[in-house]
Amino acid sequence: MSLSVPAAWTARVSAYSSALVGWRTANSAAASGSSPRAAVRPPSEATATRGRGALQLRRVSKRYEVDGKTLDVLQGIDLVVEPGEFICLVGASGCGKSTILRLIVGLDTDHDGDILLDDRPIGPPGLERGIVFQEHRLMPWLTVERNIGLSLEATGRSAAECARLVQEHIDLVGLTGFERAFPRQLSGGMAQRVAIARGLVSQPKILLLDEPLGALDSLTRLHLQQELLGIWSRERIAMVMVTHDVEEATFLSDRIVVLSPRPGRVRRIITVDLPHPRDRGDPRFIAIRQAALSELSR
Amino acid sequence: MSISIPSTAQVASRTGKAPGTGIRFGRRIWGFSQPLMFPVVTVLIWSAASAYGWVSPQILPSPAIIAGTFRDMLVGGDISANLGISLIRVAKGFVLGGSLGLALGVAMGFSRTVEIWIGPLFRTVSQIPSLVWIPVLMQLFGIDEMLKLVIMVKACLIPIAITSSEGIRNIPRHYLEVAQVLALSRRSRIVKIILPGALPSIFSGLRQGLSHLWVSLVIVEMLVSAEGLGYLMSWGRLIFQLDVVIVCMILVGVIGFALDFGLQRLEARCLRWRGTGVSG
Repeated sequence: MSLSVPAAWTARVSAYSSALVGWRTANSAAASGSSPRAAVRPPSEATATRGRGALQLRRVSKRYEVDGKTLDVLQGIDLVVEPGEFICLVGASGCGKSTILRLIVGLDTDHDGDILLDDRPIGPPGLERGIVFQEHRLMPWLTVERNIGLSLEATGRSAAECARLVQEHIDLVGLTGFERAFPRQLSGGMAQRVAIARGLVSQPKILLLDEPLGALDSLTRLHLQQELLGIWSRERIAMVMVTHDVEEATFLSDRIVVLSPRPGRVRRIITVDLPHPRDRGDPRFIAIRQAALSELSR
Repeated sequence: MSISIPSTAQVASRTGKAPGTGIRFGRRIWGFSQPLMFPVVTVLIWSAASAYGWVSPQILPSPAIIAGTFRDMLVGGDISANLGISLIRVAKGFVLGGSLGLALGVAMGFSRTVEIWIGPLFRTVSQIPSLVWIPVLMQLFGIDEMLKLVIMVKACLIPIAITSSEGIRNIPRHYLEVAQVLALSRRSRIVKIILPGALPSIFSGLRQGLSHLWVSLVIVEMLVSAEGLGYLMSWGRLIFQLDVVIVCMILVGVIGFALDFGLQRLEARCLRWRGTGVSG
């Protein structure tokens, strides 16, 4: 069994990523005059500027066979993620939130319905879809820079190019100076930032986040929420995040997708039309959070 | 805000930094002397036992006699000649057995078929002590170097193959999923994920293999050999010179310890990412 990517594929990925590099430089030049906060923009604008990285789930269902019994995990999930949009999936444990991400990234297969990225059915796992897991999953034997560089192995870029991209992303997640550190020398929050950098360095169209802040203490969690928002606004990439924390979802996302448990179905989609930075004490913020919470506990 | 993680070298120099040179030196001495406490006390009791005649010197020669015998054997060249022969045998056996064991372990680790075909056989054979093989193998290979080589290879190959194959197969699925998501080629997956992940198991297999090899070599030399440390020991027993036997016993222990210590240092160097100590 070989995991190598067909040549045509690699070519496609690198064509996309070079397009992205050009796009990025143009944008950072444009944004350089304004403050970083002002760079956070509504998703509709991103759609206009970018028009790719659109993810569609059409009537996606997934069932597992356990001891000869069929177990419906997901049933008829319909979801459209706009390019550059931040979506949070919330739901009780066991409602198949993570399964949705695993299906999108290609780690789980054999589903019904269609999953399309830029109107094309998704293939086996590839670098156009990045994922950050709840556990950082860094290789303990690789330094920070090598862990991040692992993401560029399959792109066939030159060593210099890889080094530049890796350094850029280490700086992006605020870990400058930790290039040669091993994972055991990092705190949980730092390790998770490395994982985020690893997810981003290959410049995917969409970044999937499977409860990435779930295992962190609450203070680190708040910090990383801010940073994630900063990264999202700078990278202008679509993000789909699974979380248990409704407040986190309200703070981060453009839309909150509330899932019902067993089998997982989309119960309601709540639009969070508040500008960033969001104030957790704002009555509108609280109202949205409450709406999502009551939907969850219904 | 600038935080920096100290490099390994910095950490090493920091832990070595004590308030004064005198205290540092004292700590070093204490560090070295702790493991020697029990042996020293044992020798003292042993000396007392001989001096006060608690045990007859024919049964247990005094430490002074042992030391004298050791000096004579060292000066006379008995030790260097026989030890040299034993160590050359160890080197040959470990190079051959180690590389065969690793090759088999890798094959068993990566291929389900190879594991199914020979895994259970290996696990069964590993339960049979090397000593038991000697009579059969003597019929096949005679009593020369070939016999020793075969026994040593058998002694170290099996633990090495079994532990390294288990190390390869037990790479956490989490890591393999990362390899899949990052679209790593088969080669990168093996070189960057599987082999480094299996390295701790491979090292524990190598250490276990080397110590099995050493023990079985000494036994083979005691039973069928005209030279080597084991032979020296059985010769001492034959002429009822227990001092010679005890000198050889101590040497067997010390050499075995040194061999393992060497591998342990190599392991620590190759697995720097684990930090100091297994628990990191």
